[in-house]
Amino acid sequence: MGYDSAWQDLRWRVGLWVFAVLVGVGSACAAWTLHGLRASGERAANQDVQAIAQSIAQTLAQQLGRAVRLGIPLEELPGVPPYLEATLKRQPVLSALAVEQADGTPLHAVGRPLAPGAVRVPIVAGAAPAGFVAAGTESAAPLQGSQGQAFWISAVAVLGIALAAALWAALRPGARLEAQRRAVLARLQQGRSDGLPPPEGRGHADGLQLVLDTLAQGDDEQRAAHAALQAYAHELLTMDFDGHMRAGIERIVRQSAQDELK
Amino acid sequence: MRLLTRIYAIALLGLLALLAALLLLAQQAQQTRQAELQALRDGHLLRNLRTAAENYLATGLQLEQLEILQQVIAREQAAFAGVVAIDVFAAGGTVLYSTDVGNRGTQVPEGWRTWLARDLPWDSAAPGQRQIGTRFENDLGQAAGGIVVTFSTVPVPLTLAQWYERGQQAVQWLAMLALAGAAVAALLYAGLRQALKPYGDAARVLQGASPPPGVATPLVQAAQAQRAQWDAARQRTQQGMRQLEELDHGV
Repeated sequence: MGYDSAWQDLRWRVGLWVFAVLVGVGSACAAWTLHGLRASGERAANQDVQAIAQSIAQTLAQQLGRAVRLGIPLEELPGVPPYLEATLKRQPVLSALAVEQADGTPLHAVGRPLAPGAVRVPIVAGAAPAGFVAAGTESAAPLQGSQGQAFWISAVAVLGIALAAALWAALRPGARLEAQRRAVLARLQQGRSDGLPPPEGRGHADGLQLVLDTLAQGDDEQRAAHAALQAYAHELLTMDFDGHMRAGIERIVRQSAQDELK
Repeated sequence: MRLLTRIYAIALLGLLALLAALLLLAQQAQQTRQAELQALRDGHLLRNLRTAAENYLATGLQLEQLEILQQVIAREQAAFAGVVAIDVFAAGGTVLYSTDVGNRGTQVPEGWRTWLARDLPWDSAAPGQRQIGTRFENDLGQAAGGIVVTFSTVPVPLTLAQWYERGQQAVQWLAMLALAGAAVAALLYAGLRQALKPYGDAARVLQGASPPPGVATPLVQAAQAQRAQWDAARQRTQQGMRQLEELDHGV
Protein backbone atom coordinates (compact mmCIF):
# COMPACT_ATOMS: atom_id res chain seq x y z
CA MET A 1 0.00 0.00 0.00
CA GLY A 2 1.60 3.26 -1.08
CA TYR A 3 1.82 6.13 1.29
CA ASP A 4 0.19 8.42 -1.19
CA SER A 5 -2.88 6.29 -1.86
CA ALA A 6 -6.30 7.72 -1.00
CA TRP A 7 -6.64 5.19 1.82
CA GLN A 8 -3.74 6.87 3.58
CA ASP A 9 -5.43 10.25 3.45
CA LEU A 10 -5.71 11.14 7.13
CA ARG A 11 -8.93 13.07 6.61
CA TRP A 12 -10.56 9.83 5.50
CA ARG A 13 -9.00 7.73 8.18
CA VAL A 14 -9.78 10.12 11.03
CA GLY A 15 -13.33 10.72 9.81
CA LEU A 16 -14.14 7.06 9.24
CA TRP A 17 -12.68 5.99 12.53
CA VAL A 18 -14.51 8.66 14.53
CA PHE A 19 -17.73 7.67 12.73
CA ALA A 20 -17.21 3.95 13.41
CA VAL A 21 -16.35 4.48 17.08
CA LEU A 22 -19.32 6.78 17.69
CA VAL A 23 -21.76 4.53 15.83
CA GLY A 24 -20.52 1.48 17.75
CA VAL A 25 -20.49 3.01 21.20
CA GLY A 26 -23.60 5.08 20.48
CA SER A 27 -25.58 2.05 19.32
CA ALA A 28 -24.70 0.24 22.53
CA CYS A 29 -25.89 3.24 24.55
CA ALA A 30 -29.08 3.51 22.50
CA ALA A 31 -29.79 -0.22 22.85
CA TRP A 32 -29.34 0.05 26.59
CA THR A 33 -31.63 3.08 26.76
CA LEU A 34 -34.33 1.38 24.70
CA HIS A 35 -34.11 -1.72 26.84
CA GLY A 36 -34.55 0.33 30.01
CA LEU A 37 -37.42 2.21 28.40
CA ARG A 38 -39.19 -1.03 27.51
CA ALA A 39 -38.72 -2.48 31.00
CA SER A 40 -39.96 0.62 32.79
CA GLY A 41 -42.82 0.91 30.29
CA GLU A 42 -44.00 -2.60 31.01
CA ARG A 43 -43.86 -1.89 34.72
CA ALA A 44 -45.88 1.28 34.25
CA ALA A 45 -48.41 -0.38 31.97
CA ASN A 46 -48.81 -3.44 34.12
CA GLN A 47 -51.24 -1.94 36.62
CA ASP A 48 -53.54 -0.60 33.93
CA VAL A 49 -53.33 -3.75 31.89
CA GLN A 50 -54.20 -5.93 34.88
CA ALA A 51 -57.11 -3.67 35.78
CA ILE A 52 -58.45 -3.78 32.23
CA ALA A 53 -58.15 -7.57 32.08
CA GLN A 54 -59.86 -7.88 35.44
CA SER A 55 -62.66 -5.62 34.33
CA ILE A 56 -63.22 -7.46 31.05
CA ALA A 57 -63.16 -10.87 32.76
CA GLN A 58 -65.55 -9.56 35.42
CA THR A 59 -68.01 -8.32 32.81
CA LEU A 60 -67.87 -11.61 30.92
CA ALA A 61 -68.31 -13.61 34.13
CA GLN A 62 -71.34 -11.51 35.04
CA GLN A 63 -72.96 -12.09 31.66
CA LEU A 64 -72.25 -15.82 31.70
CA GLY A 65 -73.40 -16.07 35.33
CA ARG A 66 -76.75 -14.52 34.40
CA ALA A 67 -77.24 -17.13 31.69
CA VAL A 68 -76.35 -19.94 34.08
CA ARG A 69 -78.80 -18.57 36.64
CA LEU A 70 -81.49 -18.61 33.97
CA GLY A 71 -80.85 -22.36 33.68
CA ILE A 72 -78.60 -22.68 30.63
CA PRO A 73 -75.57 -24.88 31.41
CA LEU A 74 -72.28 -23.22 30.61
CA GLU A 75 -71.27 -25.78 28.00
CA GLU A 76 -74.55 -25.41 26.08
CA LEU A 77 -74.44 -21.65 25.88
CA PRO A 78 -74.35 -20.72 22.14
CA GLY A 79 -72.03 -18.19 20.52
CA VAL A 80 -69.44 -17.99 23.26
CA PRO A 81 -66.25 -18.55 21.18
CA PRO A 82 -67.06 -15.86 18.58
CA TYR A 83 -67.89 -13.47 21.40
CA LEU A 84 -64.58 -14.19 23.11
CA GLU A 85 -62.83 -13.77 19.77
CA ALA A 86 -64.44 -10.38 19.20
CA THR A 87 -63.59 -9.19 22.72
CA LEU A 88 -59.98 -10.29 22.32
CA LYS A 89 -59.67 -8.48 19.00
CA ARG A 90 -61.07 -5.26 20.43
CA GLN A 91 -58.68 -5.10 23.36
CA PRO A 92 -54.97 -5.28 22.41
CA VAL A 93 -53.78 -5.68 25.99
CA LEU A 94 -55.38 -9.14 26.16
CA SER A 95 -53.35 -12.06 24.89
CA ALA A 96 -55.86 -14.80 25.74
CA LEU A 97 -59.43 -15.32 26.91
CA ALA A 98 -60.83 -18.60 28.18
CA VAL A 99 -63.93 -19.98 29.83
CA GLU A 100 -63.22 -22.84 32.20
CA GLN A 101 -65.52 -25.26 33.95
CA ALA A 102 -65.80 -25.34 37.70
CA ASP A 103 -63.13 -28.03 37.96
CA GLY A 104 -60.71 -25.95 35.90
CA THR A 105 -60.93 -27.83 32.59
CA PRO A 106 -61.01 -25.40 29.66
CA LEU A 107 -64.30 -25.11 27.81
CA HIS A 108 -63.50 -22.41 25.27
CA ALA A 109 -60.15 -20.74 24.73
CA VAL A 110 -59.04 -18.13 22.20
CA GLY A 111 -55.70 -16.42 21.74
CA ARG A 112 -52.39 -17.66 23.01
CA PRO A 113 -51.96 -20.26 25.77
CA LEU A 114 -52.69 -18.82 29.20
CA ALA A 115 -49.68 -17.76 31.24
CA PRO A 116 -49.58 -18.63 34.95
CA GLY A 117 -50.18 -15.02 35.94
CA ALA A 118 -53.53 -14.78 34.13
CA VAL A 119 -56.50 -13.05 35.73
CA ARG A 120 -59.18 -15.55 36.83
CA VAL A 121 -62.72 -14.50 37.79
CA PRO A 122 -65.41 -16.93 39.02
CA ILE A 123 -68.76 -17.17 37.21
CA VAL A 124 -71.14 -16.83 40.13
CA ALA A 125 -74.45 -18.69 39.94
CA GLY A 126 -75.64 -19.78 43.31
CA ALA A 127 -73.34 -20.86 46.09
CA ALA A 128 -70.52 -22.50 44.14
CA PRO A 129 -68.96 -20.94 41.03
CA ALA A 130 -70.24 -22.46 37.80
CA GLY A 131 -66.87 -21.87 36.14
CA PHE A 132 -64.18 -19.29 35.56
CA VAL A 133 -63.31 -16.62 33.02
CA ALA A 134 -59.56 -16.36 32.55
CA ALA A 135 -57.77 -13.49 30.78
CA GLY A 136 -54.08 -13.45 29.83
CA THR A 137 -52.41 -10.06 29.48
CA GLU A 138 -49.75 -8.51 27.31
CA SER A 139 -48.10 -5.63 29.17
CA ALA A 140 -45.97 -4.59 26.21
CA ALA A 141 -48.92 -4.37 23.83
CA PRO A 142 -49.95 -0.78 24.51
CA LEU A 143 -46.32 0.33 24.11
CA GLN A 144 -45.64 -0.97 20.61
CA GLY A 145 -46.18 2.42 19.02
CA SER A 146 -43.95 4.53 21.24
CA GLN A 147 -41.29 1.81 21.39
CA GLY A 148 -41.00 1.61 17.61
CA GLN A 149 -40.89 5.39 17.35
CA ALA A 150 -38.15 5.57 19.99
CA PHE A 151 -36.13 3.01 18.07
CA TRP A 152 -36.18 5.02 14.84
CA ILE A 153 -35.49 8.33 16.52
CA SER A 154 -32.52 6.93 18.42
CA ALA A 155 -31.14 5.29 15.25
CA VAL A 156 -31.36 8.62 13.41
CA ALA A 157 -29.75 10.42 16.38
CA VAL A 158 -26.84 7.98 16.55
CA LEU A 159 -26.15 8.14 12.81
CA GLY A 160 -26.65 11.90 12.57
CA ILE A 161 -24.45 12.82 15.50
CA ALA A 162 -21.75 10.33 14.49
CA LEU A 163 -21.76 11.74 10.97
CA ALA A 164 -21.55 15.33 12.19
CA ALA A 165 -18.69 14.57 14.59
CA ALA A 166 -16.87 12.57 11.89
CA LEU A 167 -17.15 15.41 9.37
CA TRP A 168 -15.98 17.92 11.93
CA ALA A 169 -13.02 15.78 12.94
CA ALA A 170 -12.13 15.05 9.32
CA LEU A 171 -12.42 18.59 7.98
CA ARG A 172 -10.73 20.47 10.84
CA PRO A 173 -8.01 18.53 12.75
CA GLY A 174 -8.05 15.76 10.13
CA ALA A 175 -7.29 18.19 7.33
CA ARG A 176 -4.42 19.72 9.36
CA LEU A 177 -3.01 16.26 10.02
CA GLU A 178 -3.26 15.50 6.33
CA ALA A 179 -1.38 18.72 5.50
CA GLN A 180 1.36 17.68 7.92
CA ARG A 181 1.47 14.23 6.37
CA ARG A 182 1.79 15.65 2.85
CA ALA A 183 4.57 17.97 3.97
CA VAL A 184 6.42 15.05 5.56
CA LEU A 185 6.04 12.96 2.40
CA ALA A 186 7.13 15.81 0.17
CA ARG A 187 10.15 16.42 2.35
CA LEU A 188 11.19 12.83 2.89
CA GLN A 189 10.35 11.20 -0.41
CA GLN A 190 10.94 14.02 -2.87
CA GLY A 191 13.43 16.06 -0.87
CA ARG A 192 11.41 19.25 -1.10
CA SER A 193 11.71 21.25 2.07
CA ASP A 194 9.45 24.10 1.11
CA GLY A 195 6.45 24.89 3.23
CA LEU A 196 6.79 22.74 6.30
CA PRO A 197 3.60 23.69 8.16
CA PRO A 198 4.05 25.55 11.44
CA PRO A 199 3.84 23.38 14.55
CA GLU A 200 0.32 22.73 15.87
CA GLY A 201 -0.27 23.66 19.46
CA ARG A 202 1.95 22.98 22.39
CA GLY A 203 2.82 19.90 24.32
CA HIS A 204 4.54 16.61 23.76
CA ALA A 205 4.82 15.91 20.03
CA ASP A 206 4.41 12.47 18.56
CA GLY A 207 3.78 10.95 15.16
CA LEU A 208 3.65 13.50 12.39
CA GLN A 209 4.50 16.49 14.55
CA LEU A 210 7.57 14.67 15.80
CA VAL A 211 8.70 13.97 12.24
CA LEU A 212 8.23 17.62 11.33
CA ASP A 213 10.05 18.83 14.45
CA THR A 214 12.94 16.46 13.84
CA LEU A 215 13.18 17.46 10.19
CA ALA A 216 13.22 21.15 11.07
CA GLN A 217 15.76 20.57 13.80
CA GLY A 218 18.04 18.51 11.53
CA ASP A 219 17.91 21.12 8.78
CA ASP A 220 18.62 23.88 11.29
CA GLU A 221 21.63 22.06 12.68
CA GLN A 222 22.98 21.46 9.20
CA ARG A 223 22.42 25.06 8.21
CA ALA A 224 24.07 26.33 11.40
CA ALA A 225 27.12 24.11 10.92
CA HIS A 226 27.47 25.33 7.34
CA ALA A 227 27.04 28.92 8.41
CA ALA A 228 29.77 28.46 11.03
CA LEU A 229 32.07 27.02 8.35
CA GLN A 230 31.37 29.93 6.02
CA ALA A 231 31.93 32.46 8.80
CA TYR A 232 35.25 30.85 9.59
CA ALA A 233 36.17 30.86 5.91
CA HIS A 234 35.18 34.53 5.60
CA GLU A 235 37.31 35.42 8.61
CA LEU A 236 40.30 33.61 7.11
CA LEU A 237 39.77 35.38 3.79
CA THR A 238 39.74 38.80 5.41
CA MET A 239 43.08 38.00 7.01
CA ASP A 240 44.48 36.50 3.84
CA PHE A 241 46.14 39.72 2.61
CA ASP A 242 48.23 38.29 -0.19
CA GLY A 243 45.46 35.87 -1.41
CA HIS A 244 47.57 32.74 -1.44
CA MET A 245 44.98 30.83 0.64
CA ARG A 246 41.94 31.95 -1.34
CA ALA A 247 41.90 28.99 -3.72
CA GLY A 248 42.25 26.47 -0.88
CA ILE A 249 39.53 28.07 1.24
CA GLU A 250 37.09 28.21 -1.64
CA ARG A 251 37.73 24.57 -2.47
CA ILE A 252 37.10 23.49 1.13
CA VAL A 253 33.84 25.47 1.33
CA ARG A 254 32.69 24.10 -2.03
CA GLN A 255 33.43 20.51 -1.02
CA SER A 256 31.66 20.67 2.30
CA ALA A 257 28.61 22.25 0.69
CA GLN A 258 28.56 19.60 -2.03
CA ASP A 259 24.97 18.51 -1.75
CA GLU A 260 23.87 20.79 1.00
CA LEU A 261 20.07 21.14 1.04
CA LYS A 262 19.29 19.80 -2.33
CA MET B 1 -4.61 22.23 21.83
CA ARG B 2 -2.85 19.63 19.79
CA LEU B 3 -4.50 18.02 16.80
CA LEU B 4 -5.00 14.61 18.36
CA THR B 5 -6.44 16.18 21.52
CA ARG B 6 -8.82 18.08 19.30
CA ILE B 7 -10.00 14.83 17.70
CA TYR B 8 -10.61 13.29 21.13
CA ALA B 9 -12.51 16.40 22.20
CA ILE B 10 -14.72 16.29 19.11
CA ALA B 11 -15.54 12.61 19.57
CA LEU B 12 -16.31 13.02 23.27
CA LEU B 13 -18.43 16.06 22.50
CA GLY B 14 -20.33 13.96 19.97
CA LEU B 15 -20.84 11.26 22.57
CA LEU B 16 -22.11 13.82 25.06
CA ALA B 17 -24.56 15.18 22.49
CA LEU B 18 -25.70 11.66 21.74
CA LEU B 19 -26.34 10.82 25.38
CA ALA B 20 -28.18 14.10 25.84
CA ALA B 21 -30.35 13.23 22.85
CA LEU B 22 -31.03 9.77 24.25
CA LEU B 23 -31.95 11.21 27.65
CA LEU B 24 -34.34 13.63 25.98
CA LEU B 25 -35.78 10.81 23.92
CA ALA B 26 -36.30 8.65 27.00
CA GLN B 27 -38.19 11.42 28.74
CA GLN B 28 -40.23 12.16 25.65
CA ALA B 29 -41.06 8.47 25.26
CA GLN B 30 -42.16 8.29 28.87
CA GLN B 31 -44.57 11.13 28.31
CA THR B 32 -45.88 9.57 25.10
CA ARG B 33 -46.34 6.33 26.97
CA GLN B 34 -48.30 8.01 29.72
CA ALA B 35 -50.56 9.55 27.12
CA GLU B 36 -50.98 6.19 25.40
CA LEU B 37 -51.83 4.44 28.64
CA GLN B 38 -54.27 7.17 29.53
CA ALA B 39 -56.00 6.83 26.16
CA LEU B 40 -56.13 3.08 26.64
CA ARG B 41 -57.62 3.43 30.11
CA ASP B 42 -60.13 6.08 29.05
CA GLY B 43 -61.22 4.07 26.04
CA HIS B 44 -61.67 0.92 28.03
CA LEU B 45 -63.56 2.55 30.91
CA LEU B 46 -66.01 4.41 28.72
CA ARG B 47 -66.62 1.49 26.38
CA ASN B 48 -66.99 -1.02 29.18
CA LEU B 49 -69.36 1.12 31.23
CA ARG B 50 -71.43 2.06 28.21
CA THR B 51 -71.68 -1.55 27.05
CA ALA B 52 -72.68 -2.65 30.53
CA ALA B 53 -75.40 -0.01 30.82
CA GLU B 54 -76.77 -0.70 27.32
CA ASN B 55 -76.75 -4.44 27.88
CA TYR B 56 -78.76 -4.10 31.08
CA LEU B 57 -81.20 -1.74 29.42
CA ALA B 58 -81.58 -4.24 26.58
CA THR B 59 -82.79 -6.87 29.02
CA GLY B 60 -85.86 -4.73 29.57
CA LEU B 61 -84.97 -3.20 32.90
CA GLN B 62 -85.58 0.48 33.55
CA LEU B 63 -82.65 2.76 34.19
CA GLU B 64 -83.82 3.24 37.78
CA GLN B 65 -83.68 -0.55 38.34
CA LEU B 66 -80.02 -1.02 37.43
CA GLU B 67 -78.70 -1.22 40.97
CA ILE B 68 -76.08 -3.62 39.53
CA LEU B 69 -74.50 -0.65 37.74
CA GLN B 70 -73.58 0.70 41.15
CA GLN B 71 -71.44 -2.42 41.72
CA VAL B 72 -69.82 -2.07 38.31
CA ILE B 73 -68.79 1.55 38.82
CA ALA B 74 -67.58 0.84 42.35
CA ARG B 75 -65.43 -1.99 41.03
CA GLU B 76 -63.98 0.10 38.20
CA GLN B 77 -63.19 2.98 40.52
CA ALA B 78 -61.27 0.66 42.82
CA ALA B 79 -59.40 -1.03 39.99
CA PHE B 80 -58.03 2.03 38.20
CA ALA B 81 -55.65 4.41 39.87
CA GLY B 82 -56.56 8.08 39.77
CA VAL B 83 -60.30 7.61 39.32
CA VAL B 84 -61.97 10.00 41.76
CA ALA B 85 -65.57 9.35 40.91
CA ILE B 86 -67.89 7.73 38.37
CA ASP B 87 -71.39 9.09 37.89
CA VAL B 88 -74.26 7.65 35.87
CA PHE B 89 -77.07 10.10 35.17
CA ALA B 90 -80.39 9.89 33.39
CA ALA B 91 -81.19 11.92 30.28
CA GLY B 92 -83.18 14.26 32.53
CA GLY B 93 -80.02 15.23 34.40
CA THR B 94 -80.47 13.39 37.70
CA VAL B 95 -77.56 11.39 39.02
CA LEU B 96 -78.81 7.82 39.45
CA TYR B 97 -75.67 5.98 40.43
CA SER B 98 -72.45 7.39 41.74
CA THR B 99 -69.36 6.16 43.54
CA ASP B 100 -69.89 9.22 45.69
CA VAL B 101 -73.11 8.05 47.39
CA GLY B 102 -74.08 11.55 48.48
CA ASN B 103 -74.24 12.55 44.85
CA ARG B 104 -77.19 10.33 44.00
CA GLY B 105 -80.33 12.21 43.19
CA THR B 106 -78.59 15.53 42.58
CA GLN B 107 -78.71 17.42 39.30
CA VAL B 108 -75.71 17.25 36.98
CA PRO B 109 -74.08 20.46 35.63
CA GLU B 110 -75.84 21.81 32.57
CA GLY B 111 -72.77 21.11 30.44
CA TRP B 112 -73.04 17.36 30.89
CA ARG B 113 -76.56 17.29 29.48
CA THR B 114 -75.65 19.20 26.38
CA TRP B 115 -72.96 16.61 25.64
CA LEU B 116 -75.66 13.93 25.44
CA ALA B 117 -76.64 15.19 22.01
CA ARG B 118 -73.39 13.78 20.62
CA ASP B 119 -72.74 10.12 20.11
CA LEU B 120 -68.99 10.52 20.65
CA PRO B 121 -67.20 10.40 24.00
CA TRP B 122 -66.16 13.79 25.35
CA ASP B 123 -63.57 15.04 27.73
CA SER B 124 -62.96 18.24 29.63
CA ALA B 125 -60.19 19.40 31.89
CA ALA B 126 -60.31 21.66 34.92
CA PRO B 127 -57.50 22.52 37.36
CA GLY B 128 -56.72 19.37 39.33
CA GLN B 129 -59.18 17.14 37.55
CA ARG B 130 -60.11 15.73 34.18
CA GLN B 131 -63.48 14.36 33.15
CA ILE B 132 -64.39 12.00 30.37
CA GLY B 133 -67.89 11.00 29.48
CA THR B 134 -70.11 9.21 27.05
CA ARG B 135 -73.77 8.74 26.54
CA PHE B 136 -75.51 5.40 26.47
CA GLU B 137 -78.55 4.57 24.41
CA ASN B 138 -81.77 2.71 24.86
CA ASP B 139 -83.16 0.20 22.37
CA LEU B 140 -84.48 3.01 20.21
CA GLY B 141 -81.05 4.51 19.77
CA GLN B 142 -81.89 7.54 21.88
CA ALA B 143 -79.68 8.85 24.63
CA ALA B 144 -80.90 7.16 27.79
CA GLY B 145 -78.33 8.85 29.96
CA GLY B 146 -74.66 9.56 30.42
CA ILE B 147 -71.63 8.27 32.25
CA VAL B 148 -68.93 10.61 33.53
CA VAL B 149 -65.59 9.47 34.95
CA THR B 150 -63.61 12.02 36.96
CA PHE B 151 -59.83 11.62 37.26
CA SER B 152 -57.55 13.50 39.58
CA THR B 153 -54.68 15.22 37.79
CA VAL B 154 -53.03 16.42 40.99
CA PRO B 155 -49.55 14.88 40.88
CA VAL B 156 -49.15 12.21 43.50
CA PRO B 157 -46.01 12.74 45.62
CA LEU B 158 -43.31 10.23 44.76
CA THR B 159 -42.98 7.27 47.05
CA LEU B 160 -39.67 6.28 48.55
CA ALA B 161 -39.44 3.40 46.08
CA GLN B 162 -39.95 5.80 43.17
CA TRP B 163 -37.27 8.12 44.50
CA TYR B 164 -34.98 5.14 44.83
CA GLU B 165 -35.73 4.13 41.25
CA ARG B 166 -34.98 7.65 40.03
CA GLY B 167 -31.68 7.69 41.90
CA GLN B 168 -30.82 4.35 40.42
CA GLN B 169 -31.59 5.63 36.93
CA ALA B 170 -29.37 8.68 37.46
CA VAL B 171 -26.52 6.45 38.63
CA GLN B 172 -27.02 4.21 35.61
CA TRP B 173 -26.88 7.17 33.25
CA LEU B 174 -23.68 8.43 34.86
CA ALA B 175 -22.14 4.97 34.69
CA MET B 176 -23.09 4.74 31.03
CA LEU B 177 -21.55 8.16 30.37
CA ALA B 178 -18.28 7.12 32.06
CA LEU B 179 -18.13 3.73 30.36
CA ALA B 180 -18.99 5.08 26.93
CA GLY B 181 -16.49 7.93 27.31
CA ALA B 182 -13.74 5.50 28.27
CA ALA B 183 -14.64 3.20 25.37
CA VAL B 184 -14.59 6.06 22.86
CA ALA B 185 -11.25 7.36 24.15
CA ALA B 186 -9.65 3.90 24.15
CA LEU B 187 -10.88 3.03 20.65
CA LEU B 188 -9.78 6.40 19.28
CA TYR B 189 -6.39 6.02 20.91
CA ALA B 190 -5.92 2.58 19.35
CA GLY B 191 -7.11 3.73 15.92
CA LEU B 192 -5.05 6.91 15.80
CA ARG B 193 -1.98 5.08 17.07
CA GLN B 194 -2.40 2.56 14.30
CA ALA B 195 -2.85 5.28 11.67
CA LEU B 196 0.14 7.31 12.85
CA LYS B 197 2.50 4.45 13.66
CA PRO B 198 4.49 4.65 10.35
CA TYR B 199 5.20 8.32 11.04
CA GLY B 200 6.29 7.64 14.60
CA ASP B 201 8.68 4.99 13.31
CA ALA B 202 10.05 7.45 10.75
CA ALA B 203 10.51 10.09 13.47
CA ARG B 204 12.53 7.71 15.63
CA VAL B 205 14.69 6.75 12.67
CA LEU B 206 15.26 10.43 11.89
CA GLN B 207 16.37 10.96 15.49
CA GLY B 208 19.03 8.35 14.99
CA ALA B 209 17.44 5.22 16.41
CA SER B 210 17.83 2.07 14.38
CA PRO B 211 14.59 1.14 12.59
CA PRO B 212 12.39 -1.33 14.46
CA PRO B 213 12.88 -4.85 13.12
CA GLY B 214 10.60 -5.87 10.30
CA VAL B 215 9.68 -2.30 9.43
CA ALA B 216 11.07 -1.40 6.03
CA THR B 217 8.34 0.84 4.71
CA PRO B 218 9.26 3.37 2.02
CA LEU B 219 8.78 6.07 4.61
CA VAL B 220 11.27 4.51 7.03
CA GLN B 221 13.70 3.99 4.18
CA ALA B 222 13.36 7.63 3.18
CA ALA B 223 13.94 8.64 6.80
CA GLN B 224 17.04 6.47 6.91
CA ALA B 225 18.31 8.12 3.74
CA GLN B 226 17.64 11.57 5.19
CA ARG B 227 19.47 10.62 8.37
CA ALA B 228 22.40 9.32 6.37
CA GLN B 229 22.49 12.54 4.36
CA TRP B 230 22.58 14.63 7.54
CA ASP B 231 25.35 12.47 8.96
CA ALA B 232 27.36 12.76 5.75
CA ALA B 233 26.85 16.53 5.63
CA ARG B 234 27.92 16.86 9.25
CA GLN B 235 31.06 14.85 8.54
CA ARG B 236 31.89 17.00 5.52
CA THR B 237 31.37 20.18 7.51
CA GLN B 238 33.54 18.87 10.33
CA GLN B 239 36.20 17.88 7.83
CA GLY B 240 36.02 21.29 6.20
CA MET B 241 36.39 22.93 9.63
CA ARG B 242 39.46 20.82 10.34
CA GLN B 243 40.97 21.74 6.99
CA LEU B 244 40.31 25.43 7.55
CA GLU B 245 41.89 25.16 11.01
CA GLU B 246 44.96 23.54 9.47
CA LEU B 247 45.16 26.36 6.94
CA ASP B 248 44.68 28.90 9.71
CA HIS B 249 47.38 27.44 11.90
CA GLY B 250 49.64 26.86 8.93
CA VAL B 251 49.82 30.59 8.34
